[in-house]
Amino acid sequence: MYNFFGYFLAVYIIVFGTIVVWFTIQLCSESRLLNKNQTKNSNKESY
Amino acid sequence: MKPFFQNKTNQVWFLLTVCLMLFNIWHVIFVTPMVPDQHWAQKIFYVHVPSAWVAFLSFFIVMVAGIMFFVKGDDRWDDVGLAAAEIGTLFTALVLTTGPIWATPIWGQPWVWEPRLTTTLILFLIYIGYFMMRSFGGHAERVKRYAAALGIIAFADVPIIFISVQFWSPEIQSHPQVEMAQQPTGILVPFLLSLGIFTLLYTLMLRYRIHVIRINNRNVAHV
Repeated sequence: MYNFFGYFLAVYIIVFGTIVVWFTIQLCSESRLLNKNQTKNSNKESY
Repeated sequence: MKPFFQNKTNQVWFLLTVCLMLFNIWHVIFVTPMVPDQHWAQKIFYVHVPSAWVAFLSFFIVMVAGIMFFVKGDDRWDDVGLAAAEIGTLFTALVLTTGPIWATPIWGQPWVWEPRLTTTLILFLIYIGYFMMRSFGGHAERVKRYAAALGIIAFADVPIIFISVQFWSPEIQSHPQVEMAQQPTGILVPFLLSLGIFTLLYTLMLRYRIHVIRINNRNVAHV
């Protein structure tokens, strides 16, 4: 006999876990890219 | 460029999506009826089908962005196409993961080489090829044109997936031949609600991804 609730739980964890991880990755890359941009701009100004 | 969530509209959109999604999960767990022969496994349908819908909507946007890129010659359409292709592929991967999880207790095996599963896998592989081409295709301008063309051609598989349950003979079909309009209200209403909330989530994800891609492009252009 299959544990139907286990399959249900696995799907919801995979789907919503992936979405949360996706947003975390976007937040990290956004802040990294903005920092890079800021560093470049401040370097240009110091020249 | 400012961070995406510094914008008030994006903050409200995000909070609204989170609240609605939490309500959707609560509703699926506690309110939707339990189907006798599938029990909890049937409730997988409330995220599996909306994930497929988001993936197909995303590939439609890739196609539109490809056409607009050729018509207008504007690089901003390439950003839209890339963002939509990424999110569409992510949701196709979720569909191809959650489908076999549902199929294991219901069909007794996770995968059957039947039309809808096979055509969905083909679509996923086409998009893996799309990203390989974007990464290793060579000259940036040429890659954008190839990507736009591939995005337009790849969309041809979406209607094939949609009609695959009627198009091929019933003997080789395993997919449930579900007529949504004939579903009881207790199932139809939460399903449509879930579809709407996933669409809201998708629009937020697409706008956010386009924003990040544009920051990256700006950085590359300034090197």
